[in-house]
Amino acid sequence: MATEHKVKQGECISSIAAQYGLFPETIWDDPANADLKEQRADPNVLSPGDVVVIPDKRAKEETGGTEQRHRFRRKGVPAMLRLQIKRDDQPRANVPFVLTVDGTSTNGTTDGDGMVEVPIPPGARQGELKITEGDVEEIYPFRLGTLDPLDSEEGVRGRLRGLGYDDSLEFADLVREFQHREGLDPTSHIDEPTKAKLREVFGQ
Amino acid sequence: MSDLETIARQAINSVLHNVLNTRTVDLFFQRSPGNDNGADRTIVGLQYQVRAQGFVIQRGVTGNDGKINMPIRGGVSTLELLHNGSRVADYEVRASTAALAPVANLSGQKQRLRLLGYQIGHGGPDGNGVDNTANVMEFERSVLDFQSDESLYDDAVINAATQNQMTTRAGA
Repeated sequence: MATEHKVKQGECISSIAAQYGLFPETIWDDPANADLKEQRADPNVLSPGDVVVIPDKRAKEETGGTEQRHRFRRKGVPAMLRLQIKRDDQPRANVPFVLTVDGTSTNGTTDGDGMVEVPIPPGARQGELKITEGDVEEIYPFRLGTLDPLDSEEGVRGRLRGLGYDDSLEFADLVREFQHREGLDPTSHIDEPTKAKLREVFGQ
Repeated sequence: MSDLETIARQAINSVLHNVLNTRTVDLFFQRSPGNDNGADRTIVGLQYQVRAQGFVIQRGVTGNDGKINMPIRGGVSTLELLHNGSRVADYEVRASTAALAPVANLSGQKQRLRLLGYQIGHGGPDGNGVDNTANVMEFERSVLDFQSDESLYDDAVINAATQNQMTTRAGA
């Protein structure tokens, strides 16, 4: 009997799959979720209140001789953190970083585009990236899985905040500033060209 | 207050990514007003931290030029100067091209002189250090000091050359 899961803020397909012990693809590609799939397009960005159908687990049969040791490997699917770090629109390229997610730290170096790519637990909620250069320590705190879909105001604000915009502005002013900076028609509304541009520059 | 940055977890063979971009403002700390040709005016080794959205987002020490490359998140950050780890001063810094009044206006001139460290009093009928009729010379004095420091003709007249130099020195 399939169950329905109502999405809460901070959840995405990876975190939901991990909770139910399924692969993200198993849930997302289930025919019962076809409507949601069409509506959201991006399984990493669900809206609170979305309903995801959780299919039943299928039993997998394995034969093995008695009196022998059998090794089963638990298949876990980590989520990825793929984050481009910029300062004044310039990528922080080839700098060492320490990423801390839910208390676990990973060391690495950003690539030539300032990209950080690290597997993280699917349910991870909060993280912080630290770059130390000389006497200066830059700290980038963030929350995970809380990005809302692009067709909501909060989804637009979240992306613009990430891009370094002052999101204490009135929504129309904020949108116009983005449009102005990107050379778009300054309509102050989230129209299709604005949405497409925002998806392109934020990366999602 | 602005919310913390939100990032999506990526899954299902995703090629997507998210961006964290930070705008910055360069601030220079000096012991006394005037141009910074004399290295002894810059404040070296000043300990600071920058806070935004409830988090410390940068820690450091000023270098030989007294500079802090200050990150601004969500439109506003607070610079906290530290002495032996304790806060001794706070500055709220906003990223906005409209933050300073035009240099042609009295208020814009005063803002720039204050940023550069000149003392401007609050005397005069409007409390702005200006009184053309009586003895309140505070604003005029700061303009004369500025002109003298910048090797401009020091007559306390804020002509185009003086305005340009104010803009150059204040960086905006």
